[in-house]
Amino acid sequence: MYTRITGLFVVSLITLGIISSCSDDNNIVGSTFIPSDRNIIVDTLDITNLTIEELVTFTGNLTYFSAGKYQDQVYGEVKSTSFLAPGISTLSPADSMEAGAEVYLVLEPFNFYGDTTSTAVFDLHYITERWRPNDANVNSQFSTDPVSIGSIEITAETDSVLFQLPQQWADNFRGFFNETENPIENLRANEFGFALVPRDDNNVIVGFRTESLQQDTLGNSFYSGSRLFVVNPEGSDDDDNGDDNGNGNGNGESSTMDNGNGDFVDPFPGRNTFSVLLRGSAFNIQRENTDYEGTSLPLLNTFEQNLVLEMDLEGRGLLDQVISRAEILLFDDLEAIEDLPENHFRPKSGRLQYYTLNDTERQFEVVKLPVFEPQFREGDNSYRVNVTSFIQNFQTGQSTQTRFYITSGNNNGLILPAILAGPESGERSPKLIITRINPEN
Amino acid sequence: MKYFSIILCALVVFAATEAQAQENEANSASIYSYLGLGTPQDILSSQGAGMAIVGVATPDRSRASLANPAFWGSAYFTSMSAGFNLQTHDATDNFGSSSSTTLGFSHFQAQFPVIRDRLGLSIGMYQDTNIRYNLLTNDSVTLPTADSLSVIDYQSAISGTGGINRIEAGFGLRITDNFYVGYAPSLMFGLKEQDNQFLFNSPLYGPARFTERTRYRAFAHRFGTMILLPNVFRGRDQLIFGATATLPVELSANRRITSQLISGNTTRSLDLIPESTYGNRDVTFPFETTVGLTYFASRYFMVATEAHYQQWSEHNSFNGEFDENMKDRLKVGLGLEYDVYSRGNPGLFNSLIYRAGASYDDGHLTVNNTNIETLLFTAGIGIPSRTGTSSIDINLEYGIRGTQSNDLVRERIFGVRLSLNLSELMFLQRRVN
Repeated sequence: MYTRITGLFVVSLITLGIISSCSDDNNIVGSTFIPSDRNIIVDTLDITNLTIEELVTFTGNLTYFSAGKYQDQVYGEVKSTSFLAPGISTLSPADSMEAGAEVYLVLEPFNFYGDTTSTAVFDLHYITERWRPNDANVNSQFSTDPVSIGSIEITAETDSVLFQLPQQWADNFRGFFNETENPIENLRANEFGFALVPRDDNNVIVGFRTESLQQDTLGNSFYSGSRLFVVNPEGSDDDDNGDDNGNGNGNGESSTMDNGNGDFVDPFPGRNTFSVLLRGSAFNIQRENTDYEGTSLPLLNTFEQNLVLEMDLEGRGLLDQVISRAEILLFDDLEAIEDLPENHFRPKSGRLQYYTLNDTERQFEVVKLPVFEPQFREGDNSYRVNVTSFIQNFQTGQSTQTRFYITSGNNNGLILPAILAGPESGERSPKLIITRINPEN
Repeated sequence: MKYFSIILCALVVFAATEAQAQENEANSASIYSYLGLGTPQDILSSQGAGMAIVGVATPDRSRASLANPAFWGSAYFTSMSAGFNLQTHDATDNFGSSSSTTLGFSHFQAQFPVIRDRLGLSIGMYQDTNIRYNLLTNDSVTLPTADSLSVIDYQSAISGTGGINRIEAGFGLRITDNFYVGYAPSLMFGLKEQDNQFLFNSPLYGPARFTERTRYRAFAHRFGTMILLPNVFRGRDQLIFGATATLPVELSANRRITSQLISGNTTRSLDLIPESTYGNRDVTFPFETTVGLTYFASRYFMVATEAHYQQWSEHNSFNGEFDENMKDRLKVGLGLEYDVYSRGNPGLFNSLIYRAGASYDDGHLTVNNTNIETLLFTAGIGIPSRTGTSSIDINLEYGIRGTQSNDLVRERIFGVRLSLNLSELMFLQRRVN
């Protein structure tokens, strides 16, 4: 009897289950029960816990290198010396230096920071100690021969400069270049390169391109940017135009490297020429009179002036909030930026870079990638970054960082300042905007 | 062994339904379970379920019943009962309508006669309140965007599951031939889990979700009495008076709020406000009493009436304040039963027990100055076994709760309640001639 009763019960239960599973549930009624003020709250919080901190990062073998000197009323006196190490790499393995070949140092300016009407004058010195471009940082100092081997002048109109290196150096270099066994190591051990030292009366810092491989309109590959340029003597075996062409008069004077259309004009027609890549480049930065007393926040992309921004999530009571969006707003200080003498110019990167660094990482050269790179917004001259996930990671214990180290852009070898509005700038002061839902409704 | 397998089956199904209740998008029962501690559940006996009453004055020796602890003093069989229900709620308000069906566990009980028809014990588990709702609303809010303030549409979804349950163990005692008393202490425990989700119609704003989870527990005490008055109007009739009372208890409540952070394909949980922040709080579960009168005109027919009262106005919320939506609740019901089976006539329809009833409930809620009333009609059949000691009871119900006026929701309730009742003589030493 139990079997019959139990069987009937189980069948009935299964039937109920099937009916239940076939049902839909689309409750859209009862909205009047839900409080209309569901506690969606927008907090605009001033960020006042801001400091400027100096850190160190590498300056070697970046996309650009900088040299010059400029007296900036915000950043003080900024002086940069470049260091260039010769190499032997060429586009074609068949390239060779003939006896009597000339070697030129090609420099291609990319940007100017300072008085754009002034002429930047650099003295070129031999470096007299072995150095590693990859190890160089903003504080690096390498010993140089006190006697200059020549000078280079650059103005805002200069596209490129060819400086003919001393023939004795060229002959020595030829020995290493044509060597078949371990040439690069011998070159590294004996030829330390050149320092591009700005003269004291300079009032502009020049950013130079390093080499890059290009193609002309016919599809021919060539190197552009700063490099060595070898010109074999007339009558050498390979008498065509070589792999690429430089431009210039070979006397250290500036001249255009192209015809304005991106096609190259051969500066040494009828001569066999080719480019030789630099083995590395680096630069240092020396600053004096940096006692800026304004309320702005001057940043540099070289990590010399980082904005340390502490969000203070715990102190602001944000740990127990359901955050839908969190955004940090930083604004350009237009007054400070525009307060420049006529024809003076501060280049800017158009972005900021947010880093998170622990104590160990701050003790040594910073080599991290940024966690955020907000772009400059033309509309309100701001940099906005969505830090929602960052805060949520802190809330869930996946991160312990609440502090950002902010630079004025990519550390690419150029000097790119950014002057941000400080905490006393009213509506343009740094802000953390939190859109949250208060769970205790 | 048979008991064991059936109990196991019932517990597995119970576990499955409870597991379903943990899901955040569980099917909805009454929308009104959003308020307070949920919708009160009054079904404590399969017999009462068919008559729209609790059944405090309708004892039945062949079925275990949780309706009145005093019944257990008349226990003759070792009995077990397990119940399930299937309910569909068709809800309508001034903005739309919805339909939802839920399958749930209603009760489990095992009843043991220690001294037959004198002292009986019972252990059981049942629901006091049920929480299961889904609410959805579309709204807009002014928020900062890239260039200025913008009006952003958002959708807010709230779903809740849980309820207050009771594990009860007690005894019933026959004091005199016609006077029974019973006492049932119980462990009340429950959970209210409310999941809140916000979806913004803007890529600038991420989804936000948090869950408020409140645990309740307390010891409760229920008392019952039953008085039999035989031969009241004629020979072989009987009038039965039954009453139960449950003392008010302070539920010990602990709340925590967690958030679910969605990052890519992973969801991480965040303890926003731990239980230690709120501390232990008291939530009053109110006094309730049920008084019933049943008249057995014969051994085949009976009619029962009942009044059920709960003092929900004394309920205070987790925040310690009296809930303005709560009011005292009075439910009155009238039901009848016709036991054709006991006549012993052959035929399918002569082997069933028929029940019907109706109840009016003035509700435990007042929303927008309107009482949330429920009118309920029930009809059911009992399918006894050949020996008459075991049965399946199938009860149907149809009810109307609430109103569409005053921006409220009217619900039409369709339900099927299924109860398995097994009874047999146990611990009886068999004598072989």
